[in-house]
Amino acid sequence: MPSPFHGIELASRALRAFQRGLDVTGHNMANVNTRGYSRQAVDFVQTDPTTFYGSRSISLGTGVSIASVNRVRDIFLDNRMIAASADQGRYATLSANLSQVEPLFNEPGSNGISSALTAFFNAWSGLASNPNEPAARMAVQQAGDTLATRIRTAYRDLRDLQSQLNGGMSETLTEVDRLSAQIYELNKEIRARTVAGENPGDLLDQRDLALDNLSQLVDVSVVRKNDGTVGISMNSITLVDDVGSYAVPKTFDPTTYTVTDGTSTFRIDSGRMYGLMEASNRVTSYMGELDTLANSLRTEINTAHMSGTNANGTTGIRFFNDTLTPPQNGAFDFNLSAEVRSDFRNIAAGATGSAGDGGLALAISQLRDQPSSLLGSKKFTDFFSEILSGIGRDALDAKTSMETQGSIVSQIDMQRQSISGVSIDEEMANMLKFQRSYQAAAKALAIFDEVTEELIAMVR
Amino acid sequence: MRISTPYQYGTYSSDVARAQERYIGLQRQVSSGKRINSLSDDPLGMANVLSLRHLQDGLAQYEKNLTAAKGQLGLAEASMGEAHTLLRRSYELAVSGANGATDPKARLAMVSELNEIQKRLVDLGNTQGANGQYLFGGQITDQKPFTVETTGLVYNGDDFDRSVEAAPGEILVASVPARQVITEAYAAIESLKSHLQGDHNAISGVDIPALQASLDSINGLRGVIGARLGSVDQWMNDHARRRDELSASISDIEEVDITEAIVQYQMAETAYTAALQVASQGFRLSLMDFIQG
Repeated sequence: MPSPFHGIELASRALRAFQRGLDVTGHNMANVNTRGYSRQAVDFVQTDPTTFYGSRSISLGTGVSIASVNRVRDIFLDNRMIAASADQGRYATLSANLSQVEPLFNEPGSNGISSALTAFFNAWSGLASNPNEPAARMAVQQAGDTLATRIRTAYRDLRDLQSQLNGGMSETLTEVDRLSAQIYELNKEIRARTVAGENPGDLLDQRDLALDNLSQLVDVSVVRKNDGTVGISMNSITLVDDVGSYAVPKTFDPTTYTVTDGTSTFRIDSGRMYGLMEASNRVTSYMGELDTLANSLRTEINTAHMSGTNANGTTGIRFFNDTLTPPQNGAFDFNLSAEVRSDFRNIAAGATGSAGDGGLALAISQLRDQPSSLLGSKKFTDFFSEILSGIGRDALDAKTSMETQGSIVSQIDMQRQSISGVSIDEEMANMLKFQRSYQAAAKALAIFDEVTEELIAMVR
Repeated sequence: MRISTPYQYGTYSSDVARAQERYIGLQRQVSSGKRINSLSDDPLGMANVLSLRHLQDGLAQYEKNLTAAKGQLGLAEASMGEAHTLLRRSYELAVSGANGATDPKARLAMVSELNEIQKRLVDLGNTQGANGQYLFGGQITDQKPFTVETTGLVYNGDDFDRSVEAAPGEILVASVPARQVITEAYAAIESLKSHLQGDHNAISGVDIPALQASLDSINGLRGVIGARLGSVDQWMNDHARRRDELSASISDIEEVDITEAIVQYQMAETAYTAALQVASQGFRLSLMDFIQG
């Protein structure tokens, strides 16, 4: 026969189970805004029945208990997220950095290099019309200075951006190490709990959040193990295994998209690191194009200008600064030559030096419409607008890819939220459900109590 | 599909953010009137705008060059016009000097008038432009082209042209080669003076044809100047028209169609308002309001 207290025990088990149900609901509601949190669900299970013998063997239910508290999570979505977020990290980084390049050029507008180029050639054309006019010569000096300054400044701004990008790459690699270490520590804890038969949902959430963050930085592949832990590698580098976490090599080469530890090199295929390297390569090519522009201006304008004779009767003066022949100093220190900078009278307008000879100025002005072999048979202004449209196109492409990749990621995230996210309404309903269940169990307990009391009263 | 609270709020805020971004973007277009505000807005259109603007700014410079040329040519034309009048007067004097009935006193008066004419002719040869440059000395613009020495009239200039850039690849000569005209006229008057004081029978055979030839070459030169002034005007008209065309092309690429932009702006505003309204109503709904605490 079952114990006379069977009902009381049954009701108290139910009270305890519903109490835990309320606790889990409270935990869910408390974490409605926690990043990476997966809602948890209580898995109720009947307790083992007891058997008693009347005319035959009868099995009697003993109530409810909690089998486990599970986190509601879809691993398939997690794996898709890891793959997608590397590309999102890549394009978001590329786009953010390329959009910093655009404002450096002040285009379209009157403060950019293209308007300075136009003004420069216009000034020579003006000098050709009025070679005897000091103001026209001064205008050439000023236009040349403005042009050189704008090219130089744009170049230096690009160089600053590039050193920021290099700093970003170092930080990213350090961040990879930090996250690997964090994941390893969480793995350890998760394994200990799983072995003890627990289901450490909150630790798994934290680990998966760290994994999400890591997968934005570099392209990782993840191996999920039965004990709840993960092994992580990046191409052929192991980042996290059962034994520990390992630092990535810190020497990087953006041009080949690799990191190296001195003996072997490892490719970077995606993620923020790749985006930074890509941005750095773009910036390098823009800088190279500005170098070409500056050097071609030097060569073309200086060659013409050196053939002229200025008002002081001097010939062979360079218009732009230049130390070597052929000159290849690039845009970094692009400037007027010391002679022209110090005195506009050193500017030659003609071959003869006669006050009315504007032939050379005219020839220089006409260079604007002549394709230069130094610029791949393009005119100066066309060469520069191609640089600009290249920059605009790169930024636009990166933005489009970022938006596409971003919408893929947010789609996966929404699906994940749909499965794992906390719904306040749902939790409120659960709370009512558990509250009512608790009240019912309490009521049952009271009745069992009364029944037991009756029993005891009988023998009094 | 199960809707979680973060999902619900995330959807509201991303919908509102999207509507807001579009609303602000169109607002920027309407208020700036520009479709292209940065390189990536339209890279190709941007490059086109830059080359068109380069052409347009170039044309503005060519117009300045042509204005300068026009000033110089106009002054040269005025000077040559006056030189022509002086030569006509010399021609008249030669005709009456050739007449045997003219008395010697009158011939002396003619000589002194011709001296003044010669001085004025040299002055005209030394005409200066707006910047003080001498117009008739070729490229030597900072010295008087004509000076009278004991040997006679001396030319101190050179024979090079002064040109201005009139259009891409096109140059226009803004100087006038007056060396020969002035020198010949001066010599013809010099010869007339000596014949008036000596063998006045030679006037009709030598000086009258010489002066006639001078008049002809001045007329020829004025024709050249007139043709150049004509080209200047034509270039300037062309440039003005071309600049207008370029402005139209630039605004086609760069500027928004304001009517369309405003319509889209209003649509975006409606969408934005709707998104806000939906979100604020969604935020209000919760099971909590229906549970009696």
